[in-house]
Amino acid sequence: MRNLRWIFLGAFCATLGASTSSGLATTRIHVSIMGSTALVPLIKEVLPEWESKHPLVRVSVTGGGSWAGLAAVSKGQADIGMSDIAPSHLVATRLIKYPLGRLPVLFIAHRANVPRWVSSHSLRELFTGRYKNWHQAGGPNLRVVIVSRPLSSGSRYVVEQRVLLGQSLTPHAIIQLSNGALYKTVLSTPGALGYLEWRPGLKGVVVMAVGPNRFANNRPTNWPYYTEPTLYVPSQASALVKQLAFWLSQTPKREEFGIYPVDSMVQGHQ
Amino acid sequence: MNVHQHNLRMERIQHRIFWLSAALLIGLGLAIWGTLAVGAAQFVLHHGLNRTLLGVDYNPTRGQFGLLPFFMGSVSVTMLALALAYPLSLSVAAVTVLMGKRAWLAPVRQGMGALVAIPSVIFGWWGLSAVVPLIRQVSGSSGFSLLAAGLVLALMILPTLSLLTINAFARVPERWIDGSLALGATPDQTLGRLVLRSVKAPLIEAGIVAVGRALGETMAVQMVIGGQTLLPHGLLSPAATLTTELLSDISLLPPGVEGHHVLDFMALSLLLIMYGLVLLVERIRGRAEV
Repeated sequence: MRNLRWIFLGAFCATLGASTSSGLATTRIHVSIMGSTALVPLIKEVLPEWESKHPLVRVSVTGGGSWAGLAAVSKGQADIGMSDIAPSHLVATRLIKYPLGRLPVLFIAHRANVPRWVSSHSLRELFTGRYKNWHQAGGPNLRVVIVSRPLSSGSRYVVEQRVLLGQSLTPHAIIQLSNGALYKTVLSTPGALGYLEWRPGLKGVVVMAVGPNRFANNRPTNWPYYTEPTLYVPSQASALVKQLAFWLSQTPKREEFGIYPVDSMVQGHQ
Repeated sequence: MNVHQHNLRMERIQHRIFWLSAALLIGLGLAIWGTLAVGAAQFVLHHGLNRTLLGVDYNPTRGQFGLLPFFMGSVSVTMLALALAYPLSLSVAAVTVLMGKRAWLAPVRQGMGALVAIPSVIFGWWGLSAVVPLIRQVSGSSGFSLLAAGLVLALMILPTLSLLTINAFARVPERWIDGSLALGATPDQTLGRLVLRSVKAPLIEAGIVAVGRALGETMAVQMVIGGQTLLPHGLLSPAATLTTELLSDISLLPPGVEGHHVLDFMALSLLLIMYGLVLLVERIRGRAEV
């Protein structure tokens, strides 16, 4: 009984101690980054290099999607927001943009779908659900299965704006929450058509050519469908946060993750 | 200070810590209910109950909040899973407790415990790789469907349900079974007229616990159900449930964005259903003890 009591007290003191020490730790600077899941792997890969130069700064990175990233940074819940979507009426605070470049969005289909090329008109009809069978787009007699990310996805927003010209994606689409699950679904479902931000090792699926455009890894700049991953920082943020956002947006590792810089891009740093 | 006084003082400190912990827990529970209730109330005041509970069009970015497809999805997936898993778990219990030797009980329980420990995302991934293609081959549909979700869920709740039914069956004293057999009843008659009747309450309780587990499951269901926000028109059509839609839209509608309260309303509905199930279990348990 006596031992038990000491165990309880010990546990309590340990909890107290832990909370005090974490309280002390907050005297270090903490920067939080939140938003587009497509950017998380890149940011996580390059952050250690920056952190080693700034030992007093601790940076946390979380996903949540482009919309969540914009909302969090505009409300001050995150220091840096990652988003593929340009902020609109949603964001009241003035934000500084740090664009990383362009990330191609590819249209991938199951291998059984014979057409490897569709016109941009057919692509629109397929994604809006007006074409229900591949023979309408010059393919075999096979039912079309559209696979999509949820409404919160930045790449879905780009597809709806640039491919569907503002129309909604068919409500009959199969929704997958992650790019990985979407890829696996297209890979294994005959008749499937989906879209995906560029990623290394896209094997086993057909990357569709659209109209006169064919995607080539060595010439991504010719491909007209892309998201523009961007870091957003409130204009009143500290110089350190701005410096981090600028450094991240310029990292040479971007190209390993499929993001290619655009020369004419005006950088938002100060 | 003598030892006794010292002990008394330590006990007082402990009591305070226990009180504090309990109060914290209750406060946290009330805070969850409170936050959801405030949000849900705002949602109901703004959109009304008729258009939401009975509405079938859902597009939060365009101000449409018909939630009937998700309620239908949740109910049908749960019922399907239970209909598939319940007879199986009864068979598992009958085989291990009645037909097998009682010495098998411990290893079977351990095995089931190991199955319970499998994280749901693994069931989802397995469903995506095995169940969905199977349904596609058999039916010619895309495979993402209520049926796929029901099958994956059935497999997920099977270990829990089997453990509970085994425990229920094991409560029947061995000499009752021996007595029944000695009086000339066949094993089937013993199972149907003695065992099942005497553990009716724990069996119902097991079913309700399984319903709770199935209703709350999100990740595994999301991966195989297809996530369509339309009213499902058959077992083979894709659908969405309350939990999967909550997960999909949580990043689209963060707090402060118009439409966020629909998530509060969905979460509160789930909470109320689950709470109802808990009350039901307590009532059955109470009645069984009397």
